[in-house]
Amino acid sequence: MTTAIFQKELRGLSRDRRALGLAGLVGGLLLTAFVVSYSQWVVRERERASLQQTMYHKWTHQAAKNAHGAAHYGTFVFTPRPLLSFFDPGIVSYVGSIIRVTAHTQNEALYSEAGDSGPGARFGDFSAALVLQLLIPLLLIFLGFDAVTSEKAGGTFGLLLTQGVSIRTVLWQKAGAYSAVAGLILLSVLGTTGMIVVLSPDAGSDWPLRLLGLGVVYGAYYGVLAVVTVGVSALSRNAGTSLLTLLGLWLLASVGLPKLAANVGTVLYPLPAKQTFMAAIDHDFEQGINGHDPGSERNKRFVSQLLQQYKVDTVAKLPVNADGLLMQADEDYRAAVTRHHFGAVYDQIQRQNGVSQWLSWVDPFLSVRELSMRLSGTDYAHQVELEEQVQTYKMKLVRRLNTYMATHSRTGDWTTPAERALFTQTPDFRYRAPSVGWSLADGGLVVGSLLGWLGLSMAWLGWVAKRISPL
Amino acid sequence: MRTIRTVIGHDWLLLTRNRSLWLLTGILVLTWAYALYYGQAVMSKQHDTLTQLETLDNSTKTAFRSLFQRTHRPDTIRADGNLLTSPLATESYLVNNVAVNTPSAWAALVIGQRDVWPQYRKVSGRSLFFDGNGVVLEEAYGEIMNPQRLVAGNFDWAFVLVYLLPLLIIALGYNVLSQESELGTLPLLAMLPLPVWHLVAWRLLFRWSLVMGLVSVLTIVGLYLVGGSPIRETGTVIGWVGYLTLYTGFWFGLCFWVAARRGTSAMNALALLAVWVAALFIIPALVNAYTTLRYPVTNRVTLLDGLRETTDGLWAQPSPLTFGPFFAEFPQYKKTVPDLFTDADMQRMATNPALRQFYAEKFFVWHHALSRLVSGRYDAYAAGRVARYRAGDLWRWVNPAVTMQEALSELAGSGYRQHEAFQRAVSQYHRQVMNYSNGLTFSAKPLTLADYIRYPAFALPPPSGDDTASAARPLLVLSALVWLIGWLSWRRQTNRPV
Repeated sequence: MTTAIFQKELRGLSRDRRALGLAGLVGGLLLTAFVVSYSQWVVRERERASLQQTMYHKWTHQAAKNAHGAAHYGTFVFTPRPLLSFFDPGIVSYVGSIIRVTAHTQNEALYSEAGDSGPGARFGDFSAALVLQLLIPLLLIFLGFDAVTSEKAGGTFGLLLTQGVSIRTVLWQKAGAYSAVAGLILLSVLGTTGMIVVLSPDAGSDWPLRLLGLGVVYGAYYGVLAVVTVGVSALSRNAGTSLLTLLGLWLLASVGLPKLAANVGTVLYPLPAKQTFMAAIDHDFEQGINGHDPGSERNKRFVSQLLQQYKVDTVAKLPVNADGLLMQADEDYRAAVTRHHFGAVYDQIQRQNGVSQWLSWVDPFLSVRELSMRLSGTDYAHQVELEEQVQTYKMKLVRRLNTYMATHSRTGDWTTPAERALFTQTPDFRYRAPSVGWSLADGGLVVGSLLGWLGLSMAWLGWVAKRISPL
Repeated sequence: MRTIRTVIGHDWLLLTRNRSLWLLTGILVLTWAYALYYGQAVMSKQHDTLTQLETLDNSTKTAFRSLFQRTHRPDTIRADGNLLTSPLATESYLVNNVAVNTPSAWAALVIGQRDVWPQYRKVSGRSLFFDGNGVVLEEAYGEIMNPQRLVAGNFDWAFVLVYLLPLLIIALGYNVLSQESELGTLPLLAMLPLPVWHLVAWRLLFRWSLVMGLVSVLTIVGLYLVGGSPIRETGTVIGWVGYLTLYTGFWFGLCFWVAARRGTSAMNALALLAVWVAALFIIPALVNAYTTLRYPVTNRVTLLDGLRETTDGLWAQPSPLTFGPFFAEFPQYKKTVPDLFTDADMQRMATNPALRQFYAEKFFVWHHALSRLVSGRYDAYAAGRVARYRAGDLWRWVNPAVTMQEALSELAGSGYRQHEAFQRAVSQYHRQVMNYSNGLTFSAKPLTLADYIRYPAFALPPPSGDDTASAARPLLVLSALVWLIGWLSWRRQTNRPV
């Protein structure tokens, strides 16, 4: 089969000043996006690393104090930003950047970029993903809205068919040409991203797979867009109608439905008010051991069990500090309570996000946005994983301190300072980024919808080819 | 004048016969209805939360007063030994005292940052930075939100006006002249006794007035439907319509300018859409990037760390160190205090009134010391945050969409100025409450019912007119500028044949 139409289309685009101008504009924007978003990532990561180092130094050099006192003194974890957040920042501007690590409480990540900014922050972050998700589709529309209408208006469509080429071939090759343009831009974007990643510290090992995944996702999306653009152009009576229809679809898919999907999710699966949420946690805390309330019945039972376990009749004869063990029992109980309540909120938020995933069968933009965030490590699941790792770190840290108190002092001793080595040998928090497989797990729905859109749009173009008349 | 009436009459006929425009208008009305529903749903939830808090606060205070009235005498009301007549008991019982940034009805039309920023703060005689669970800043009072929903944004009436309305205007104005050219009717129009640019300007002004009429009516009806009173709030309605006039004027001005370039309808549409994409996506995102790079909020970490370091060992330090600066600030309370308050003292407190009195004084002085020791860091943090909020103001002259969003947010009390005013009011209120608690504590007298009734109440001052009007000038200048450039472009081609 000849590829003459494909070549002619590309040649036409390369000679079209409008197309070249738009492509140059998009190229400039992409370059700006890379410079701006990578600079932001570098500045934040430097700042984060410096603050983390300072806080760790403060922890290891803290004033002499009792081990449980040190658990109250605590430390801070400054949440790292995934390297690929410079490509797609996802939710990073909307989640907290600091987690307080201290005894008895599970602290959420607080202090987000958006919370520190005025209403303008809600207009979004400038990144390559913004350009790829919103502007390249517009570019494809501007390049292809008159792909068929101009041929019809100029009378060349009929001439093409008289050469023995089928309508189907014309439409396919035109769609192929626009896909090739988008693919070329995509390749240059991913190539630039890859170069930046290679030159960055802590790039990890699975970035090639992540970039490949991004290439497949955006490539499939542009395939859908190119096919739909040519199909709409073929069905439209004139270029104006085609342009208006395509812009309407773009607006609906890229701006309207994403907001609608998120809003519907919120209405279907409401989140508790913070006050109610905290009251429920406090209520459950009161049902268990409170290490700092020695008079409570539960604490007395706990101490009595200890006495039985060690076969002694007074706490003074215990070989361990009962207060230290009580503190740890308190910590374990509270951790279970907070895990239960925070887990319920995480699940509810995932249900809200699930609405967008289901709606991706109506709007492929939602699949692309979701998969792009997952592959960049900037979706909600990654944030939950990060907070859980911090919570695990906190539990290990506090357990170590409470155990030290229990085994290095006697009951009632809240003042003997711990050895300095207890603090200096504390490991600092290290985030272990999940693998690409983890990032895509449970993503079958959105992957399926994107592939479904690709298949259906191709079938639809075949149907369009049969339906339109040559004149 | 008759010619102008003819032009407008003809334009009205053209518009009413255009099905696409009817469709777009229908879509605008549908999005208006959904935006109202959505905005009302979000604000109802916030209202419910705030009402719940205020109810809890009021019921606690009422129960406390009625208990006081029933007993008529100092009495033990809690098993752990706190007394009804003790300031410390007041502190424990009135811990639900809240300062609330209640949303107005307008907030349902423009949610702004109300879904991100905390809308209430518990205020007591303790330090603002330390609640029962430890060190805390105001962000801890923010509601639980789905960050992916925040990324997607709110579908409120402001979104429709800022994002979608320009598209309706572009649809109304992109072919105001080019269509005549493409249909071959332009030479006929050129025979009218007025220049072509007058014709274009009158058509656009007429369409502008239609759009303004429609969105003004939708706004006023919308306000009424979400529980506001357009009559009582005429000033805000006028402000809202004024901003809309400037913003829509900017977009109609662009159409006027683009029409002067005499391109095809498709090229005009492309040019206008390019400006729309730049104004709604690219410029705001670039300004956001500039703001985050130029104004990092690292001083918050300094504050948090300062709070941690300050609380570490503050209770255990000798009294002169804690009480000295307090007595220097409040000499009226100066007295001799014991050097230390030990664990043994804690045990004996229930049976020793002097120790109990000292404990209460030390409790409030400790909180005062905490606030005093970190006040410098807090001021630096607050100033950094305000500088960041205001960073966007520098870009208003090139950022019409964000300027419009901020203007509507300020009018609705959902903007950063209202948020700042709330934070300032909370700080002032906290000082009032702290001074009140200190006065009661150091008086060492049993409290009376009148003392409870006199407990300070929170009041949020109304926003100043300057705050709500501050975005008018850049929008006016931008709007005037595009019309002026359009007019100059038309003047340059007065001799060009039609």
